[in-house]
Amino acid sequence: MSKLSLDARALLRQARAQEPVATKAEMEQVRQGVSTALAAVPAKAAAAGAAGSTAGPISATAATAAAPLLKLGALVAVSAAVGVGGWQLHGRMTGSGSTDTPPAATAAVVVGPGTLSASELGAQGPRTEPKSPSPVVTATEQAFEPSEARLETTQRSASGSSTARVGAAARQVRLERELRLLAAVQARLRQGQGESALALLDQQRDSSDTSQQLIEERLAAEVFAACAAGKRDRAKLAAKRFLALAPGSPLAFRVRSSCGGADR
Amino acid sequence: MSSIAHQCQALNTVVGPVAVPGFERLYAEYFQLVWRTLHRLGVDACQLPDATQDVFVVVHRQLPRFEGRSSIKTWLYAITARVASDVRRSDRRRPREKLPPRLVAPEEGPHDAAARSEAVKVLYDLLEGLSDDQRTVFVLAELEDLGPQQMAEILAVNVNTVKSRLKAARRSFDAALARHHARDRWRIP
Repeated sequence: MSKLSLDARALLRQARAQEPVATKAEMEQVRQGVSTALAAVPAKAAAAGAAGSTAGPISATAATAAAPLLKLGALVAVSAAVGVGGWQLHGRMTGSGSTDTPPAATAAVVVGPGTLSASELGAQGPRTEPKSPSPVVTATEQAFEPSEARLETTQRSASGSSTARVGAAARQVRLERELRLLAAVQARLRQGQGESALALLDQQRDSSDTSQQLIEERLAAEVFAACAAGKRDRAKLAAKRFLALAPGSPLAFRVRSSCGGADR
Repeated sequence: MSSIAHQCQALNTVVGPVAVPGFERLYAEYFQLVWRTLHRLGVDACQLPDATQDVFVVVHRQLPRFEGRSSIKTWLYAITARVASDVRRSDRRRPREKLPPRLVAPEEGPHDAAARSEAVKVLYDLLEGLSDDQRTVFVLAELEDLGPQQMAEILAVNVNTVKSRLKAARRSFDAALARHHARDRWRIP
């Protein structure tokens, strides 16, 4: 590995010595936030190991914190990379013996009451109040927990008796259906069947059978399919909608460079 | 006693085959490390409290399962790196104006602020120019003083991958610093 230049080393030394630290107030604010978040969704760890000693305070705090947390008690983990990467480390640390079998991408989509869509992950603005576990927490936590626990969570969500859980399970089914649709569209595009891919998208576009959680990906697929089918006007329309919805998406560059993009 | 303290009392014992510190001790000991690392990894000032909270929520929940096969610090860095990566991914999906790096602690006066700001500002500007992967290994190696093996464990990638990323990151950082100096010289008559 090459070394850094002396100039760079000097800068790092100076900057390290000058970086400010968090204040006591910030430390306390975060502590409160952690406390509220843990109270909102009682920790699985506590339930498994030390339920007796933790149930009291958690319940007491949960009662006061419940209202603003309802919409955030849910989880979505959409990145296969998150699951795989963290899984390997966790496996090595715990010696669970299952490091070779990271959970599949679809298994990472776990739903609970009030599931947030992937696009909503990015819509969260800065928060000053203590918050409940965010999707980031959930995704990260899932990357560090054994598959058994993850499976249990999924099964609990899917087979819960409450209406919310039934709704969540239905949303998961719709999401999986949407994933399958996108895979089919991609397969047709790879085979150069633009018209066919477009027809598939049309067929499902307004269907209530899809979760609409992957709307960005569907719009991007529509752009590419329309281009492949030689329908430039439609591609432009879809690209316009896509770029209005997700200008910072990783797919934005490809959309802009396509026949429907403004760059062409 | 706060609910966290209460919960931590239950965790402040032997967990799994080895004794690991209780949550409260971890929080006190590593809060600044997590905060600082998140900032260095590209979590901007306004998101720092939330991101730090996310890290410690995961830590609290996973602590009972931690068996000490890796150091607690490595484990914390892994969680921190993942949360930072998720925050950056969210930012990419919904771009917004980022706050500049935190240059001073809130209680510092303007004189201290001016003295502190330049090197930190330049560092963060240059870090922004690195790709996510490069930034992560660069921060872990050059600012957190971790070795390739530890970084490989944290990032769950091959040691050679870490080395090649670090090599590229150093090259990019040096080039960006040279450009920065060149611009400075050009500005000053």
